[in-house]
Amino acid sequence: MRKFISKIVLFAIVAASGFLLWLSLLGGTGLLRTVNYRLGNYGHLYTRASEAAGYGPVDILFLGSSHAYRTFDTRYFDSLGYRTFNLGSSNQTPVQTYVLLQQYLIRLNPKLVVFEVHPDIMAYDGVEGAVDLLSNVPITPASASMALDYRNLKVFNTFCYSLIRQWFCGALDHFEEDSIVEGWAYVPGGFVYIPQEPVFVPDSIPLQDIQVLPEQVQSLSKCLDLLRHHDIPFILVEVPSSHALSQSYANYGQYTDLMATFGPFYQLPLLPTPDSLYFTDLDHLNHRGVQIVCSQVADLIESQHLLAP
Amino acid sequence: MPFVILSAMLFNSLQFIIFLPLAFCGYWALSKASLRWQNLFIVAVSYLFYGLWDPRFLLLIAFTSLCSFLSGLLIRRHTFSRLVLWVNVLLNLTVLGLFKYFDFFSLSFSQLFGIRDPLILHLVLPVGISFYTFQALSYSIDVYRRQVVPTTDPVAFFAYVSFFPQLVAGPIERASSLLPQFLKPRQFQYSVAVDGLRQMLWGFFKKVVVADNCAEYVDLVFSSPESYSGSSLFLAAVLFTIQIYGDFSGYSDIAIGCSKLFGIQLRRNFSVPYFSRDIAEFWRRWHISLSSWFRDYVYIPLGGSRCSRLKVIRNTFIIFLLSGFWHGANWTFLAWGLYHALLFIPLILLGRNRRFVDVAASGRILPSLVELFQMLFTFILVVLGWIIFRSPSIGFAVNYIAEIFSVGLFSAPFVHSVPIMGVLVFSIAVMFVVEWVNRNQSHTFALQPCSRILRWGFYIVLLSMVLTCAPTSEMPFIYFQF
Repeated sequence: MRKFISKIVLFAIVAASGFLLWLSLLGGTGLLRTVNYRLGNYGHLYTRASEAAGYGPVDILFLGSSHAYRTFDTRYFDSLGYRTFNLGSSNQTPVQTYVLLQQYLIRLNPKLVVFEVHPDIMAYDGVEGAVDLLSNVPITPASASMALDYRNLKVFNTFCYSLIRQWFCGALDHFEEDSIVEGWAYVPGGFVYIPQEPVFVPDSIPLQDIQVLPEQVQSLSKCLDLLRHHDIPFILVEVPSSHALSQSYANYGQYTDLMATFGPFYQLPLLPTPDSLYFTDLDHLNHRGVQIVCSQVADLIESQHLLAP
Repeated sequence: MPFVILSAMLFNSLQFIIFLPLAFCGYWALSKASLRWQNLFIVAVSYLFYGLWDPRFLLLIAFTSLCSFLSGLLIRRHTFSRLVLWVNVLLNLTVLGLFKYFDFFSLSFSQLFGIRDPLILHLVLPVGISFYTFQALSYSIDVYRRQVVPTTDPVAFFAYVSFFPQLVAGPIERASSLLPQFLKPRQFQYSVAVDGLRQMLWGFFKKVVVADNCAEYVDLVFSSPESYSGSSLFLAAVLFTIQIYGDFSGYSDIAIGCSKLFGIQLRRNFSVPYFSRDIAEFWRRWHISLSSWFRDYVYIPLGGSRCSRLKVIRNTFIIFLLSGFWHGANWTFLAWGLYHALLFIPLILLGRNRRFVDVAASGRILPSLVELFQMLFTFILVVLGWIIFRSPSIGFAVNYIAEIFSVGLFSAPFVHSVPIMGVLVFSIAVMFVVEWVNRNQSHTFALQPCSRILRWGFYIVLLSMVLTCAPTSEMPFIYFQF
């Protein structure tokens, strides 16, 4: 038995080294299905994280998924005299937000955090958001811990490959992020500008329950505790979705009740119909919608005196 | 962390990767205590393993085990032994029939006689019920036939029925080979344990890399065959043929390998079936534990092949139809059994069913052209059978096969992703080459002695493929539904 266990341990060490070699040789070829390393992504997280690393204190920090980085136009808020930064990223769930906050909160030192919470994101495991973060942001103990906690092969393998790329190839040091989607442009401060406004014709969606995941609830609490620990005020904001999507949630009341337990929660009012006027898809606003929602958020901040003078 | 929930424990899940070492350590730690404690531990971990699917069905396994255990004791007394056997057989088959076939018969009966509101129970099919019921039945039949001495040790018997590696999808063991292993102390043997791990690795490779990658293409095409050309339909049928082999033989390899870690030897369930040169040979190599069960407990008692030609034909039809029906309550499974019976009967009538007893190209590296042709022809026949098996209805299967034999067969097949297809073709090639090279061994990954660097290098490549080339979603084993 002793021989067996010692051989197993020896094999595990050799196999781990061999596995890392395998990953480093084939990780970037696209042949490995559970390695989803994408340095440079349509959400521009690489550029955003690089900018955040050198950004000074801000008045408002926006957090959340693509609903955040495609909605909260930092230029609009800058024009009102606020210094803002948008730390949203693709498929960012509270699990990823917590990692990003640990990495950038002290440097950005916001006076107010606007935390975007969307029902679909609270019901999503965040695997894609995790691999985006692991590929494009310097790996820290917090992101390593997140990768291991997922217990998901795709996240773990992407983490290992990203670690190899960052440590041995300096992947993040010599990279220039281009736009993956034609016309999409990163705006300094974190907003992503999308020029086209394709006509969006929503399909009717069958009734569905919002199934908020416990790990997202737990991570959201941790994020808010971290903000409280640093005495940073925050508001939770739900950016409007299309009528087609909003009306499909069967238990929406339960969801809003749950969100309200975390702190000040604001549901921005639904935009007038038809959806095609203000949306590019079921849950992302077009230019017209972005302008309306930004002004609503600015009004909210002003009317509620959320920013100390 | 809340990320891991208590749920069904598949072999290809993280839960099992944690469960197995713990069970292994606990089991061997108890080897110095007593045999009974070790067996009790096996029962406990097996019930935990099964209970994670649905704890309610633990009662069913316990009931099946208890009935068969008591029937063994009663049969030994020689009073009403035949009656006791039949009561036990009926009890077990009633439970199986209720859960697996009641709705099917009720619906078919009502359709036949135009009954409007048939009684449908909508019972959840307990995982592995067909496997452990057959295993428990074989015990009481063998005791009745005096081929097995009935045990008086209930713990050992419960361990025999519920032994977790083979509980949910076989191999279906016989009491004569498995039960005695629970009645005597097991010794840890280094070489056996290492061989077990090796066989498990091979099973994981076949399941996770080969079968699961095939499944994506197969599911896509079978979900809407009208959207694809004949060549794509044929490719999907071939890939399903490989998928079901990789899936089921992969499971068997993991089960057998896992058992070796516990010092228990299970019987071989697959012996390179796709290298068969005719259908009779295929059936000696495919799902051996089920085929031999039907042979020993149905075919031979009916007279086997030592009776009139008419009876031989009848017996062959019976076992193939039963074998098909064992897989599930659907006409397609019966049609699949019928199809194989029709292929098998000419061989048995001509006395050519035992023409190929040895493996193909025995003593040679490569097969002859004739053997290659025979293997390919048999493979194509098997592929056609699997189309029937995979189809939701017989009409679907007929249309599917008809579409294959259309002009579309000569067009380029649809490929959903070139890198995925490339990895799939490579992994299928690795599987068949390794199995061909090892076709004479006790299992197809029993590597010949070679340098450790080569062996470990190969293990690491396989392990890395398992960890990186699988589809991102966890896919259950096909045979769990049976």
